[in-house]
Amino acid sequence: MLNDTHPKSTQKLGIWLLLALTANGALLRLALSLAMRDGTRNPIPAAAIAWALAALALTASLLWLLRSVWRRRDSWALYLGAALLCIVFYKVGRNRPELAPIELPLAILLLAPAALLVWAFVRQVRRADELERKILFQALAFAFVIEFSVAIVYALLEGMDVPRPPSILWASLLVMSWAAGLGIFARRYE
Amino acid sequence: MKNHLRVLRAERDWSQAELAERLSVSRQTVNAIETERYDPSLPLAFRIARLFGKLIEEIFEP
Repeated sequence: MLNDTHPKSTQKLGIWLLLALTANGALLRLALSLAMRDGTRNPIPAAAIAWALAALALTASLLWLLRSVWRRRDSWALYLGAALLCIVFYKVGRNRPELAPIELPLAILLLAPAALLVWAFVRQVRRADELERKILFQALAFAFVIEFSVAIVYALLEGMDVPRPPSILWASLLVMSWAAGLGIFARRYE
Repeated sequence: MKNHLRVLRAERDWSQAELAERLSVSRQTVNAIETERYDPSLPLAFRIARLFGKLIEEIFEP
């Protein structure tokens, strides 16, 4: 998005792969959620395991394809997509108080896309030229102000029995306002 | 800041992408400098001047 030296076909492919990854993440999480619905007492339905394995295999192949796009040239869409993927992985499905044995390794596995996001972000900042860095930091400042303002408003309303929003809202808000900031500030220099 | 980057580039028949590659910046940066929406840093201004074989003040005007 920022670096318009990317071939358009590569960008398109990257975005489609990210959408596929995100949908796949949702499917995987739903399959696992389905498998866990009965809690730890009942055995996990075989169909749910099959779905989860299929989704895992698809994720691996999509990630492999994404790697080739990544190697050609970085794109900001990748980071936003990776963030979205993390969010979908974490949040689609119901929360249950008790942990099934498979959920703990899954939670640890979910750290991988989060680490990937951090690594990609640092890599992109290092590679960015001075204008791209300026836009990036302006967008980050914009996202910080939005997040801070919403947090302050919520803190003020908290004493008035306002329903507690899910924690993921804060991460989503940060990513969305960062994306909006990138769009706004990049347009300024077009 | 006013500059003669577009003219200098046109004299050499370079595209924005070509100039960007020579300067190791993005095409967006070259475009933003040419349209005077962005003032380059001093190191980048020196790189531009060196590339065109001119002094900084011959390319950029306050």
